[in-house]
Amino acid sequence: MSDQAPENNRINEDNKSAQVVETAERQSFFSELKSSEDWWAVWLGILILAGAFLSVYCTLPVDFKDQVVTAEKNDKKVKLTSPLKKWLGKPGIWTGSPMDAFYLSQDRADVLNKELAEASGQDLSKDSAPKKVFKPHNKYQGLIGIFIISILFFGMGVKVQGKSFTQFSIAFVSLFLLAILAYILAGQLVIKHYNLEYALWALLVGLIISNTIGTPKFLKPAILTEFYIKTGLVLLGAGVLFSKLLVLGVPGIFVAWVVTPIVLVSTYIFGQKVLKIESASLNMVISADMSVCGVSAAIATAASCKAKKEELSLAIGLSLGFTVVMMVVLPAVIKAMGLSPILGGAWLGGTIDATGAVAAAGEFLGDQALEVATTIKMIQNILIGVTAFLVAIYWVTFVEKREDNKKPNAMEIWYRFPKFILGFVTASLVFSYLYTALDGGDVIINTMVKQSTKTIRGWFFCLAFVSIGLDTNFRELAKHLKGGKPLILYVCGQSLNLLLTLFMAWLMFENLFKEEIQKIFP
Amino acid sequence: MSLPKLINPKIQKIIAFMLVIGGLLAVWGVVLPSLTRQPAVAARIIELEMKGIDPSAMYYTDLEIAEEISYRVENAVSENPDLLWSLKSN
Repeated sequence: MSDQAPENNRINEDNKSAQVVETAERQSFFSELKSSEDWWAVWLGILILAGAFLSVYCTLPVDFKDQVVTAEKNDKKVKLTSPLKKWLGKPGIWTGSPMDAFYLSQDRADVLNKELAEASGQDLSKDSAPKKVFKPHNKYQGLIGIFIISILFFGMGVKVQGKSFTQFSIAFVSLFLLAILAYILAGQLVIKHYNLEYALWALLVGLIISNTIGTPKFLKPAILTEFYIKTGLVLLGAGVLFSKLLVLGVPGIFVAWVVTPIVLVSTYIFGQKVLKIESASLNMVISADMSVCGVSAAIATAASCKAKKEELSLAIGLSLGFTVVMMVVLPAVIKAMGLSPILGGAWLGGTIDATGAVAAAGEFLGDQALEVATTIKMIQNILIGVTAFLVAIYWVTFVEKREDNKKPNAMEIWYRFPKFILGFVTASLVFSYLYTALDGGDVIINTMVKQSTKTIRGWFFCLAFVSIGLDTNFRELAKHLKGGKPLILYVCGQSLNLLLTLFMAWLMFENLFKEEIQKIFP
Repeated sequence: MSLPKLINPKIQKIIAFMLVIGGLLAVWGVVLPSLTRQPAVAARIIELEMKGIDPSAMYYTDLEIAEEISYRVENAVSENPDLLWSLKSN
C-alpha cells in the first residue's frame, strides 16, 4: 500500500486515468538490496521461512521415511510437531470473559463446554459428554515468542533503513498490544463463526483511535504498514503450493482458474470503462478480492498495484460484508434451486470470497458439498501468487506512465517492480518443489506452515491492519464511496462471477465429468 | 450557542473515544455472549468446531479441515491419475 512515495518513484495522483511516475534519484542496486524496505521484506521472510523449515526438518525422527511408508500403506498420515509451535501463538476463542483467550484451565474449559452444550439443547443427562469446543490452553508463551520475533526482525529492518530502533521499539510495544486487542475481538465465538476476520477488527481498533483521540505521535515509528504486509506476503508464499492446483484436474482448473481470471479482468475493465472509477488501484483491489479469495487476495493485489491504505480497507470491508451475507444466503438459494451438493459445492467454492466462509457454507449443504467447495477454494487460493505477480507487471508496465508518456523500458520496469513479489513467488516455487520432492514433503511443509509461519504471517497482517487504521481518516475513506461506485463494481462483478461459475460448474461437474467427480466425492 | 462550541475539542475527542469504547464493551461483553447462548447459534458453533471449520479462515492453510479433505481427494485421485484429465471414459 502506498502511504508514501516508493523509494525510487513518486506516484502523481493528479492524473486520474493513469498514474504518472516521475523518476527520482535512484539508489544503486546493491544499496537497494541492503536498505530498501521491499528487499528487507524479502530477507526477513526468507529468514523466517528458512528457520521454520529447518526447525522441522532438523528434528525429524530418525525413522521418518519408514514412518511415512508405513503410514501411506495404512492410509494414514505421520504427525509432526514443530519445535517453534509453543513459542508462536495468538489469543484463543472466548465467549464470556476475554481473559479465557489467554489462559484456559481444564476445569474452566469443561464448564464452558457444558454451558455451550446446554445452550445448544444437548441433553447431557443422557450420558453424552459435551463436545470439546473449548480446549485448555496457555497462550502467554506464544505471545511472548511472537513479540520477540516481531520486534527483533522489524527492528533490525528499521535500523538498517537508517531509522531509530529505540523509537521503533517503544512504539511497537503499544502497536502489539493493539494487535492483541484486535485478536481478542476476533476470537469471540459468535464473531469468529460469522467470518468476521481479525483484519476487520484490527482496522477498527486503529480507526477508533485515529478518529477520536487521534494517533499519538510516539506510535508513528511503528506504523510500517507496507513493511508488515510485504513480509507477511513472503511468508504466505510458502502456502501457495502449485501441486494443489491440479488436484481436481480439468474441472477444477476450469472452475477455479478459467472463470476467475475472466471475472477479474472483466470487472476491472467494467470499472475503468463503464463506471470510470477514479482510482485504478481501488478498482483492481476490489476486482481481485471479489473474484479470487477475499482478504488475502486483496492484501496481495493491493501491495502489487501500490494501492492506498484506505482503498485496501474499503475493499476488505466490502468483501467481508458481502461474504457474511453470501455464506448464509447462497446455501439457501442452492437448496431452493434443488442443485446437487456437488454442483452447489463447486458454485460456493468458486464464488464466496473468504476461504473459511466457503467451508462453513458448504457444511450447511452436507459433507459432499463441503469437500467440493473447500477443494475448489483451495485451488483458487493458489491463484493469489499468479495474480499478484501479473498485476505487479501490468501495473509497472501499463498503468504507471512516465511523465513524457513513453512506454517504460525493461530497466524502468525492473526499477518500479515491487521486489517483495520476487520473494513471494520464490517462496511459492521453493516450497512447492520441497512439498513434492522430499520424502514426506507434504507432512514437513504442512507442519511448518500450520504450526509456525501461518501464525507469524497472521500477526504481521494484523499489525499492518492496525497500522492502516491508525493512519486513516474516515473522511478519506468516505471520499472513495462517492457515487457508490465501489459497491456497484462489487455487485456487478459478483453477479458475473455467480453466473459464469454456475455455468462452468454445471458444465464440468454435472455434464462432462459427472461420473468421474462422483468417484472422487462419493 | 451550539453544543460543540461549549465543549473543549480535546474533551469532545475523549468523550467520543469513551462512547465508542463503551459501545464495544456493551457489544462484546453483553450482546455477543448472550447471542452465543441462543440454541441455534450454539448448535451451529459446536457443529463447525467439531468439523474443524473456522469460518474466519483467510487462506486454506488456516482451515483445519482443508488438509484432511485435500489428503482424501489427493488419495482418491492418485488411484486413477487420468480420471479428471480426459473425457475418454464418457
